[in-house]
Amino acid sequence: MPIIEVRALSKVHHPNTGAPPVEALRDVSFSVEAGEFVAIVGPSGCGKSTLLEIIAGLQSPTSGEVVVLGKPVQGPRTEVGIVFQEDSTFPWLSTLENVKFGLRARGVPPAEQEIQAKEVIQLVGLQGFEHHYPRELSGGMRQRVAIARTLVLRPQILLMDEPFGALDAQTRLLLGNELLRIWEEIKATILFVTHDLVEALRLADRVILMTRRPGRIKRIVETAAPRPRDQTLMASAEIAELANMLWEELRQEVVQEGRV
Amino acid sequence: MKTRIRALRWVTVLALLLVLEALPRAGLVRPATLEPVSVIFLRLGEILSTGTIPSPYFARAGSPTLASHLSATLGSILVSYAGAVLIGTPAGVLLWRLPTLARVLQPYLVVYYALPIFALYPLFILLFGTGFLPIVLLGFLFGVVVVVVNTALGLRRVDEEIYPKVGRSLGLRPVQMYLSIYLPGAAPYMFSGWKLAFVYSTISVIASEFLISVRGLGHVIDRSYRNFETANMYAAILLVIGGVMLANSLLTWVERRLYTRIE
Repeated sequence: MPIIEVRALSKVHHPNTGAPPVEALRDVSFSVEAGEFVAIVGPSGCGKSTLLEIIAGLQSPTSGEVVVLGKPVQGPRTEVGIVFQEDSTFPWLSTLENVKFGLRARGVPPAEQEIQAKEVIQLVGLQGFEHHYPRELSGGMRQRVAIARTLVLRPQILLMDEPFGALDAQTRLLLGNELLRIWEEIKATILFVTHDLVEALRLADRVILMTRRPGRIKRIVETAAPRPRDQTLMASAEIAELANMLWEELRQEVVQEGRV
Repeated sequence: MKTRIRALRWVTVLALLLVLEALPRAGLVRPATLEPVSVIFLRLGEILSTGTIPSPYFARAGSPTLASHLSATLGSILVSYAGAVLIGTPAGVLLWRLPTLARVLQPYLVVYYALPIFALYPLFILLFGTGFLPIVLLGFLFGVVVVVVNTALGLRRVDEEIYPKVGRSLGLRPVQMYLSIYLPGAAPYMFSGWKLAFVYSTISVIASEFLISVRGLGHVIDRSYRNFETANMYAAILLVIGGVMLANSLLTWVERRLYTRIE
């Protein structure tokens, strides 16, 4: 049984400013197996973030449903963690306090909070920065804090909304590799939204390509490349062919959107 | 560089004091306008050490002690400021929680913000007489609006950030959302509202005392001025300035401690 099932999902936003309604998603269906790493790629504004937030229970769909671990999603769930694109670390808390945040809210005893938080800080490679505040950390490190804050709650499903989108290319590459290492260690299911095809192909088992708004599924491809994936593999003919094919499809969407 | 700038700052102050000392001594300014600064500082020292204002007027009026005036002023500021913070903060929360109410009140708030409430003092005398009450009410009304507006603004800013979404995704209960997300997120805005309210309440209380009261430092300044007791007047002004500076640096210190964690 799949761990996430998205069934005929549609979403229309009704802005409360009185602007005309926006159709974000139209009839989206797919499923994710436990332990899988799935990337969602699409042009900007195709409703990728909306889709992720509906799965996280932060927004409700206009029609259709999401079933996570056999139960329909009706609100945020403890089994599901989400990491956002923008810097979401709490600037008034130190690294350690940020990571403990969710544990504290769940009433975990302080001593236990400390142990678990330090463990996850180690996992994301932030040891030595426990008492730094976000303003003292780089963008990449802040995103590590945000990832740690979500991971410490041991979610079975990790939703990531362009988590490296605001970072420079080198940091992205580095954090992508770290994410794969973490994924293998915690054995979670990851649904990863990005607009970067190469990143998607490098990280994921499967890539879901979405159309421009209203977002529909255009294509789902298996990357089927062995792991670990190094730079030579990423430069191989098969991957290049896959990337070209996906890019051609993505390009059509972007061009039709009239954004180029 | 830093020490040079600091040194230059002191030189400027000293030069200014020297000029202020020299002008009346040289007879260029009448003593009714300005006494030499040394005389003023000596008078302030005398008032502080004896606790009494050396003035035939205040002796006759039966309020020669500094304590009687200081307690009146501090009491009025404290009550009006506490009212502004304790009533203004929840009112700001309400304004944020009820956007329709906020939109209805918007034009009134803008006018209220710009309105010199103080111009209504005759009305307050007619309604509440000349005691403690009209002074405190004016101080409260003068200070409360900035607390309301800043509290609502700060909370609205948090809503524009991603933090509430993070809170919900981590499964926070409503009370936890308020205490762990909205309160710390809005704190810098709320605090600058509280800080400004203190300044506004103080201005209003001192100014009201000029006109309405028979007690308070504002009253001392006003009466000394009318009775040509120039040294007493300047001593009282210095006392007010010193007190406000002290309170302000205290608030700034608290604010900075708050900010270093945030900015």
